Amino acid sequence: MERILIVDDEAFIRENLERILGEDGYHPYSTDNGDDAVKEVGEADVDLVFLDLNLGAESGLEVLRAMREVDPEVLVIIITGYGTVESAVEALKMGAYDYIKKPFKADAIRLIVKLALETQNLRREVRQLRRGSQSREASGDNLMVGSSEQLTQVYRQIREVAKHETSTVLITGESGTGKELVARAIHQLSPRKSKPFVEINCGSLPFNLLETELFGHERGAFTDAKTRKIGLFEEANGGTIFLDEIGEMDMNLQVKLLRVLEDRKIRRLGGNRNIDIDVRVVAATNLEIKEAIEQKGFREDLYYRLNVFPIHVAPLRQRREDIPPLLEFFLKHFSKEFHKNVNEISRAALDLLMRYHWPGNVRELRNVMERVCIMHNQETITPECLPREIWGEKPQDEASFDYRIPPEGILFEEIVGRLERDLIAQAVGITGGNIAKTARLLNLPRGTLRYKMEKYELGEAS
Amino acid sequence: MKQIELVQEYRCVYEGEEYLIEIFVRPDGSHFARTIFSPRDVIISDGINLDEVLLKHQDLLPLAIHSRQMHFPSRSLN
Repeated sequence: MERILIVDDEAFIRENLERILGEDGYHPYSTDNGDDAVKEVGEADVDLVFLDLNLGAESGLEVLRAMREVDPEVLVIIITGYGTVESAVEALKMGAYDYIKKPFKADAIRLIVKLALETQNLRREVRQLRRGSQSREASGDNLMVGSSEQLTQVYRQIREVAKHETSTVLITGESGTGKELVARAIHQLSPRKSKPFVEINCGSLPFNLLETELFGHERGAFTDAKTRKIGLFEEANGGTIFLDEIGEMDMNLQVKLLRVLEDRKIRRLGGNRNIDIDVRVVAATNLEIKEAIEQKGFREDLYYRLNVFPIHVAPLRQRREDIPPLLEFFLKHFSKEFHKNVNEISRAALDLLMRYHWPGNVRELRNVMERVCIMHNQETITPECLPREIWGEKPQDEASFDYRIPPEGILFEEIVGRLERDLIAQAVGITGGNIAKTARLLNLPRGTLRYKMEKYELGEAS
Repeated sequence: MKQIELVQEYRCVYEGEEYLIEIFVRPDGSHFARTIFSPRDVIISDGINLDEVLLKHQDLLPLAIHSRQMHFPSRSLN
């Protein structure tokens, strides 16, 4: 219910407005002085303000200025009497939304409030869309391309979890595999799709900045907090918040996030009241988060709340059948974008691209295609068009584990353990978890495989 | 000082498998539900009261089970 603050020193005006607005389902409340009004705008959530320009000894213009200092986005409708229209125009220049002359009719009030609140919603949507388009530009594409078994399973999981709009989701996968696209797809297919999708990379900001981004702050919460800031949880209300690189989140912030998941409430920095939120949390990590838990770098209780529905996006080297459609997609995309006529990949070039192990996953493939389209004008991509790392790459089956021991030494068991775990995980991915097939693929006795799968928590061997 | 207390246990059958839902109350009166699939694979749902948290957890449990079956098709969860 929208909260509408009425600031007028005439009790009759306040009561009249409260009655009209209350009848229309809003939550009106009032004050007769500017100080209380500014304080209210600073401390509470006010969707709209009716402000009398002539507040006895106080200047309505000064009150408006003070309100906008506290909250630059506050929507104010000026109430003006006969002979003060010039001041009302001055108020518009200072950022008031509109003005209405006394005496006013109930219908005029209803109309102006409806328009003002629609404007407020549109502003929020524009802000969210702008944020969304920026992040899409940053990620470089907005589609998931491929039909491998692994990706098909991800599509199935997306469809299933999208329906349950309250379930938290934890997306795991290496950098560049498209975790953000999975999060967007979940939002788009969910009943929340008409509401905001807000994302933030938890690894890209220092603790203090991330905290204010997520939770917002009140004016004066810290030295630079000149105005109130609405945090991303509030912006995402009704929709989805995507917390990328959650494993990078500071422990203190993990505690705050845990409270949000427990209570479904947030409190702005410097604020003194809790704000209810209804947000689906989708988190993603490229880290082995269980290791982070063991090393006390990630809270176990938070993980248990996030990991209700896990989705793993396999690296591109484990789903090579997705490479040709991805190449075709990005080739068309960049050929069009750069007005080139590159439309084909030679057999030899395709062989190299298929054999390359793509450590940067889909993002790297996209970048390679972009570079090729910028640098070359020929219709067909040949091996010579490709970066050295691609045609110089040894095939996977010939790869040696060329590891240079640093002067400070290594943790042998840990490195070998990681390699072992990765190989078993790959094999499990290829065989769909079939123990017999996995054992054959790795040339391991089943008992040994079972033992190692349990050791590395790669699923119970049945 | 009051601690977190186990207040209820429910057994829930899904596709022939039985799962345990434990409901706890915190000192502030709020509740949470927990199901342990394996020592490292646990899910927790939060709620204001027992009914709410049980309903929420019961709703999410099949989804959580199914997601794990998708990850590990040959794996039995319990």
